[in-house]
Amino acid sequence: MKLDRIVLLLLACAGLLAGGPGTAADKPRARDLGVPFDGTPGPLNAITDVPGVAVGYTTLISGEPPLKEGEGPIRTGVTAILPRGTGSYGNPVFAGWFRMNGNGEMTGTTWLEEGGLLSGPVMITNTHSVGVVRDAVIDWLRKKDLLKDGNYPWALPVVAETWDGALNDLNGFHVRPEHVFQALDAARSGPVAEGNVGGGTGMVCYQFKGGTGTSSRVLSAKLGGYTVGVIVQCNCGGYDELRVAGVPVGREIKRINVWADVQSPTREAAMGSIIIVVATNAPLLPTQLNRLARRAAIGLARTGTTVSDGDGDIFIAFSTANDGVAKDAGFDSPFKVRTAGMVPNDYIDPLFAATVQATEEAITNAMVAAEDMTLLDGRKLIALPHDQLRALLRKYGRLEK
Amino acid sequence: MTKVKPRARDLGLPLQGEPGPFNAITDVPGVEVGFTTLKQLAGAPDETQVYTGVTAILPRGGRAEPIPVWAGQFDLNGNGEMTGTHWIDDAGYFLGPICLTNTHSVGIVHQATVRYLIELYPELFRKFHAWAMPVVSETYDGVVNDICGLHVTEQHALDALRSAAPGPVAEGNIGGGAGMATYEFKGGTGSSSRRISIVDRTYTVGVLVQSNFGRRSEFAVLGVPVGRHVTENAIFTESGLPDQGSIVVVIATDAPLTSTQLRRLAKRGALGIGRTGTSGGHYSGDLMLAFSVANATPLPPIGCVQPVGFHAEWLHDAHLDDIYGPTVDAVEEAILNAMIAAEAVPTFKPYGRMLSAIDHARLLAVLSEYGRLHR
Repeated sequence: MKLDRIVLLLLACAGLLAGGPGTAADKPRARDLGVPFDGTPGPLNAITDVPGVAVGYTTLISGEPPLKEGEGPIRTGVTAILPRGTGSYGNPVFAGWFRMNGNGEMTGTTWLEEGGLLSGPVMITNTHSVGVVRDAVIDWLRKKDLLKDGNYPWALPVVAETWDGALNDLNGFHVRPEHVFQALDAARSGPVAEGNVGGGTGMVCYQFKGGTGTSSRVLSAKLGGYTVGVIVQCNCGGYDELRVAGVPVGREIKRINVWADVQSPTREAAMGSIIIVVATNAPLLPTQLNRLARRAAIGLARTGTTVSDGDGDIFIAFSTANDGVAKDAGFDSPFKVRTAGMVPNDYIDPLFAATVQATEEAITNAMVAAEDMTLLDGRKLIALPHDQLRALLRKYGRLEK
Repeated sequence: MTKVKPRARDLGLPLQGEPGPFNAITDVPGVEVGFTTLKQLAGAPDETQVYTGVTAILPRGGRAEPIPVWAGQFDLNGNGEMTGTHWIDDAGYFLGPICLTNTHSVGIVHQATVRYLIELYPELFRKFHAWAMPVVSETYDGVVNDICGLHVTEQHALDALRSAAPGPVAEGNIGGGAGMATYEFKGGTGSSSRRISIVDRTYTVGVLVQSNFGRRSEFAVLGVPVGRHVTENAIFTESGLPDQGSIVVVIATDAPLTSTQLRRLAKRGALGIGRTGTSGGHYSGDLMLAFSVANATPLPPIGCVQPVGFHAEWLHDAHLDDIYGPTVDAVEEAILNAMIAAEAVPTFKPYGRMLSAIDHARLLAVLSEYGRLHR
């Protein structure tokens, strides 16, 4: 492995100079290309528009095909999302989750389901690195002296994954604990890099190069003025299925079929996964956040997928409101009832719509930001070509002026 | 493994039902169990104490053909972790081992199991597209083990996986159960089994528990409130701490059950736990997994021609009650076996106390007082 290159990439992706998790101002996003979306995004059009939310990456890219197990090529990484930035552990957020299709992993959901609480980061990586990332999160918490009295002495980290074995030496186990620490330490608010970064580095989305994408929506003051932010690690979708703003882009753009070696006709087109993280500052209870997580599936559906048997499409939603309400009480503190706020269900629909819209845009952003990569079998996997996308939007009367 | 320690039945506890030859999960044909146990006691307060391990359960032994088992899972209380459950819930089956360890070593054991699976099924992972989603679960051993020191390595987990064998199963302070507490006594790993006759067939249900739960005051053995009588050294209660434990219950059977039926069987694991007295504490991760080795159906790799379907035989629901009762019994017995085999360990946090095992003679005396002993 070329360490110097990895370090350089880390610096670039950590956005140390810019103070953010990665700025790439010169890179157009889906909106910049004229893709029409519903709703109003926040200033960064990113999950970090939700105050307090921080994102950090470690991106590992080195070597070229052919595959040599244990050596490379390496195209993988780690994405860290901290709901309350560095103050995330010991001050849980209310959270909910939803599984659209379970051929995947998101650890920590047993406790999410039971307690409705998320303490600490949400991590996303490749399928075979879930374990190392999970324990490294615990080690990071211990090093920060967070696993101590007043907090839980144990941690049940949330770590999700998608499979990058078409582009990455997945069975070479290249993600190591230090990569996890780096992603966690690099987490910042501010602009969020997209495409071939973090856990999304080696993704395939609708048989184009996929990756990490983000977006946000802001509600009007009349509806509470809340923000909903979404980040996705997108690795799903069949060849013909892709729709951008309703336009059947997948059928119109010629490219290779990554799964051409798969003989079963039912599996030929669609295999992969998507992890979707929804953040909001609207005060929602865990039950309401479960409902928000289900709306991520609706946003995903707008991009065309029918969700295959091979998909691990698992979504988590959390609310940064009710700051401090879910802190551990400690066994020796006097009993005291805590008061939490909630948005009345009569006003929850705009938050549902915001989730759907931001999810759709985050997926599209991931694909627009992604860059071409050579598959392990030597074929070239192209990213969604911007000019062809614009031409198709124009053809179908959907190009935003 | 030489059996030298008495088990619950050897002490004369009047346990119901007919166990298999080993009275262990390995009575289910093909099921193998392996352990790695790490024991390094601290000699002083500033020394590290390592008292933990890994338990590996191989539903189909080391068979080199990737054949999943049908499965269902259930959580009584979710303050815990079991990986792989998304797919078990959605698909009703899983491929590969079940590993049990401490709370903070789930990750490294997960990674080791991925490596083990790649080695066991090289064609599946190297020639074809495949991804591993191992089942790894945990309970918290921070009272006797430096759990934040992350002492379990990939090699430890691989050793447990590779040493898995059929036959008798060691109990007590062993494998992932090394550092566990149960009803504030020393807990650990325990196992039991039942033979079941349904019409003209005989099936086996085998159970393995990693037992780490319960407040002393609640502890009951065969309905006798033992915890009210044996009150000494209740280290959590005396420190004003709640029940911090958990239990993982793994139920294996060769009865041909669907994943729906297996989920229902998993729920019976909670009844077996309930018999020992607990009310299922908030801090507890009480997680059950049930699997069936019947209907062994090969999983053709992605990239091969897939069969249109397959034929399987499923047990009629009318016979489920014949399995439920023995399963509840076997879970109860496995927990008692874990406690009876366990041995006292000095505590690590707080340092300097003793997590005592239940005294067999005291237990028998209380049971005798309530008229619950055979002899």
